[in-house]
Amino acid sequence: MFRAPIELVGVDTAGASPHNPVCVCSSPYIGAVVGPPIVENPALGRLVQALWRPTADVGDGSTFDAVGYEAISGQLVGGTTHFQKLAELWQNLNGIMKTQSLNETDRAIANELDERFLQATVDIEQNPVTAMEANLLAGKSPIAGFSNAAMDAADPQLGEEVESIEPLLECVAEVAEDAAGDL
Amino acid sequence: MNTPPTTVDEAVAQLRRGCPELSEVLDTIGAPGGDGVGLYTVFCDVLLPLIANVLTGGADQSFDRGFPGALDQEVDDRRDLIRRLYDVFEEWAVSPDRDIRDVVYIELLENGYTVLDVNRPDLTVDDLLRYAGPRLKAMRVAGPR
Repeated sequence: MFRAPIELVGVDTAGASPHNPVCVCSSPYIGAVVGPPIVENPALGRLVQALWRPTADVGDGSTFDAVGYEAISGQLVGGTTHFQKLAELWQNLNGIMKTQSLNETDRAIANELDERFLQATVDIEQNPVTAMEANLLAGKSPIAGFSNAAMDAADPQLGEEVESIEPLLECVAEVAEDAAGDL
Repeated sequence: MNTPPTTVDEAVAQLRRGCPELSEVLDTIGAPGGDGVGLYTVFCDVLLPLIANVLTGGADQSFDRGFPGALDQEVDDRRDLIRRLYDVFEEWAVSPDRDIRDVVYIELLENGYTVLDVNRPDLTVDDLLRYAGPRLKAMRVAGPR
């Protein structure tokens, strides 16, 4: 299991409670929801359970931090990438926000989760080359799990960089093939 | 006879055949379909809460709160359903579609699952593998490739 070499952010946790989570992890998005929040709405609760896993050790154990690490470092979390999961569960959250009657607290948490989905997607958008490297390292299509928004944002940058990264992508693909052959 | 699914639609169709009791619930969440309702949502909304319910001996009620009355409450019936569900996972685990294998790996084998509602110890991967067959167990070692 990889550990994210991301600088830890120290914060005052004195005021933390299940309904008032504070940043206690490596997430660079201070002020956003970090750690699994307690919610009342069943659908939102199931989404929270899907987003945070108890033994995940990158960042705060969330899909957001896994994606951020993969996109920025080009390395894998748990042997694969989590871009597809991020994109699909963001759609899930949007559906919940549109169709569910959320109380004020749940609505606020849903908005903060929405912000973290956005930030993780921006991580991919801003680091398309390393995100593609991670996908290739996992043996996937380089753009696997890229959301439409991420693709739109990535296209111009990829257009500029495609020539320079071609040898790198070939190298990564060879390594991935060798690794697959060793299994 | 089951064969590994090549698309998400096939995977969900296989799930409906293997676990027909879940068809109505799958209809409720719109799976499979547009708007991002794919296998991660199926796991998130239906399968993991159901597995958690059975593995905690009925203590975790997330599934039943989401879909009240959708399934018989009888514990033995739910155990039988879970056994058939894990038979479906055996096919998904060797799907030629990497995305399908990835979902199985990430949702069942990468980490445990938090049972928030009852504040019980988290379900570990060993817990989640209690009903697993050989392909899932092999995937835990080899990864989703």
